[in-house]
Amino acid sequence: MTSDKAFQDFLSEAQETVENLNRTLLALDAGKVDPDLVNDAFRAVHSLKGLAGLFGVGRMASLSHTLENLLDSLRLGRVAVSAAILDLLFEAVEIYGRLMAAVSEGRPADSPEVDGFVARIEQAARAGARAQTQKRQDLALDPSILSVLSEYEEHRLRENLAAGRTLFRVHAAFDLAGIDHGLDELKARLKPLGEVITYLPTPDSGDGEGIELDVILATDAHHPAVAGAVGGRAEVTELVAGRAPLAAATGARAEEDATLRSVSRTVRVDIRKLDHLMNLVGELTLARAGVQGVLEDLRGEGHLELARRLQQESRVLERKLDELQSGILEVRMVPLGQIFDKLSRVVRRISRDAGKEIRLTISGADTELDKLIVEELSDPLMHVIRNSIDHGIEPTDVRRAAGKDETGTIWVSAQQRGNHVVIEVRDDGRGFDEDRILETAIQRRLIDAAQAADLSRRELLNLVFLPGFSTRERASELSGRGVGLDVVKTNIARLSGIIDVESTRGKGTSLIITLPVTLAIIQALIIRAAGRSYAIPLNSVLETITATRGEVKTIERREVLTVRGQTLALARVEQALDVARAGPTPERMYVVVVGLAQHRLGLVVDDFVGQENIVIKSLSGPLNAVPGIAGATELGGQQVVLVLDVAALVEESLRGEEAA
Amino acid sequence: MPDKDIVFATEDTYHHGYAQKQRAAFSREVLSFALGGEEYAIDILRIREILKHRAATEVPRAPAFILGVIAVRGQIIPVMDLRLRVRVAAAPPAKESRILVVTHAGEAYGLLVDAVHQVVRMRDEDVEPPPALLGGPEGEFIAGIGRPRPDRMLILLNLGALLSFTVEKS
Repeated sequence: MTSDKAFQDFLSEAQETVENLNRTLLALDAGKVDPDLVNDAFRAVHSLKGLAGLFGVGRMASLSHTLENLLDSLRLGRVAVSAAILDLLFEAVEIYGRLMAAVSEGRPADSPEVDGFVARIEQAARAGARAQTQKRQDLALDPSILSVLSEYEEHRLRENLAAGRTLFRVHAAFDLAGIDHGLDELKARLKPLGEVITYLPTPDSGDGEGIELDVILATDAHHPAVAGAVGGRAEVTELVAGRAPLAAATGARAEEDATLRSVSRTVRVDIRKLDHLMNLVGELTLARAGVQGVLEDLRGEGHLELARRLQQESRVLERKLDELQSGILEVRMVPLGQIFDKLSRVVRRISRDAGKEIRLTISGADTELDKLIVEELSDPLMHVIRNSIDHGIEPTDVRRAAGKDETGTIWVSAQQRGNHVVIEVRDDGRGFDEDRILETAIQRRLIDAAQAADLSRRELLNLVFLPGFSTRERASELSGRGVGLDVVKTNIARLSGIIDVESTRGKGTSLIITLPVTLAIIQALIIRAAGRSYAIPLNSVLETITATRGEVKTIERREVLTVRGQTLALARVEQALDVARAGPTPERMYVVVVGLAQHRLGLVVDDFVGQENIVIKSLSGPLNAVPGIAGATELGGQQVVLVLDVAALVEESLRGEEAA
Repeated sequence: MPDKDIVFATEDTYHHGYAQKQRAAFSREVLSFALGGEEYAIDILRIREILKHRAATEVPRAPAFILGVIAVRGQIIPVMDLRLRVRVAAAPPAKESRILVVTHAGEAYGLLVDAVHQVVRMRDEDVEPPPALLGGPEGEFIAGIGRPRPDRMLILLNLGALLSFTVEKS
């Protein structure tokens, strides 16, 4: 059998190919039928077939084989590209996903599903088949050219002539050594003008020195434009006159060529390798701290000149280390478009299942986030969208009655703000019903009636994030499965993110997710409490304030502080972690206000030490499960400090609140 | 022409084979160390390195025998006070104290011991099963008793049992 690594490579390559296929299908779905897109889809399925065959995933190979036939028929115009066919192709993308998931978990790929699907594709291909009435002879073209065209080329020729394009023969000579490059260059020059149908060797070529080719081009451009494009390096003859008016040649295709080239220059890297590099940079930073120590010693012993030179070198080293670090971080970044593509597919399918008309508008797909975060974000985001489709957007008749656009809209937008990325999912649906939320929360005993009366609107809306909350009596097929917004919140919190909700009844709902750009290296506040140092990730710190012991009040024995008229629950770090304090707490205290989603907590510390860039490392073995500790980091001089798990501390404080 | 398949034993090959047989017989190599006046040992293959004692960063809610975590070559590893773990009376670290960095289930751990002695080679038959009277919680840490010489006794530790513990949930 094949090695594990090879198999992992297979999976990631197959996944990438399926994602490309999905993107191609989305492009096809969005616009007119572009032959290049159909070809891209064909190539994607073809390589999947090859991959699956190579790795003995029989189901995937047979699925790919059937799809390949279908796409070949589309490519050749034997079957028309229709919405029904596109639906099938999108479904195929999902089946690929399930097959790969099964294979990666070592489960057998699900056969009845694939078999049934294959049968449906074949049926659709038969149903969509166009009558082939035209014959080769009816084309007004030199038979010596006609006879050598492949079926696909002939189809493209026919389509172009039907569209009224002009056919040119571009005759060019190449020397044998440079033909690959020369032909590519010629095609690149011609592509912006139209479609290169084929290229054929000419009968009189072959004197041993060079080779002469006829390139057949279909275009809306006129003779001078074509001749200008080839720049006198080839002879241009009109074969069939077109009907089209003079059209400006588009540069879009040339651009497409450029992106194709860049694809071949990328490499796939296991994220763990990047983690390893990041660790190495961390160690180098520590080594530099060591050099700094030597420098101080030199200075102390009066070697001022040596110390000065070392200082200079050390600064260069520091700068380069910073560059190296940000370089590695940059490599880890992937555009959110990767998951937005999946969202489009899901919206398409779910809205159809739910019988609702929904338009998905995406912006900021090029916003970049750490690969690991993007991976983890996929499920919560999918869930939020499902919620919008299922609960947010009203059925068509209700929307019509309310005087709204019958087609509901979901906007997904992303933008970077400093070290954070803000993702908003907004719909123009019915919005949250505050009364229903209150009613449900009281009924489920999440709050009591007295508490309910004191809630602000914001607090009220945030009740939907509580575990065990679901506004629908019966979980639906779509967003059901017992998963609620609380799970979304937990998943986002695990990524050190915050989720917030805004909603207007009748107008729509908006969920705003704020995430750090990366978790690989983070900024942290180093604090001291009870004689020990701890690191608090800066992305969850909202502000730091100072207070005196006298300002602290207690509510039901829990310490609170009034900040700008609002009550802030306090937690002393040493008490939250159960570590002993020698001596009394100091009179003057520092409070680090941390936020997790909509909750705020003031962590009481003895002192601020400073701010550092840290790499969080998890604790091994059973210690990994210590509540309140996210991991540890090395600060130089072999000093290890623990990194506080803000999410866990806030949750713990909330539990304490409920118990009180 | 001589048959290539037949190889005649020379004195060299005889000695070579004998040495291999000897090595196979002394198949166990353990590192012995002192702990509370007794001599313990761990399979040498499990030991990654030996460090001088250094202060560990305390981890809250961890069992008392976990001294904390230290950084070793960029890795953060927990350090266990082996005295407390095997219920020998606690003692402050001394000049000879060492931290044995061992690997178990793909992760590294540090074990604080009183002093490191040497590598001891033993035959399989030099190892006795753990004595039955050593039942109770400590008994499970003992993989066997090694007797490389009639007058020497090594307590062989079971790393898997030593390193399986849980932390208190809040």
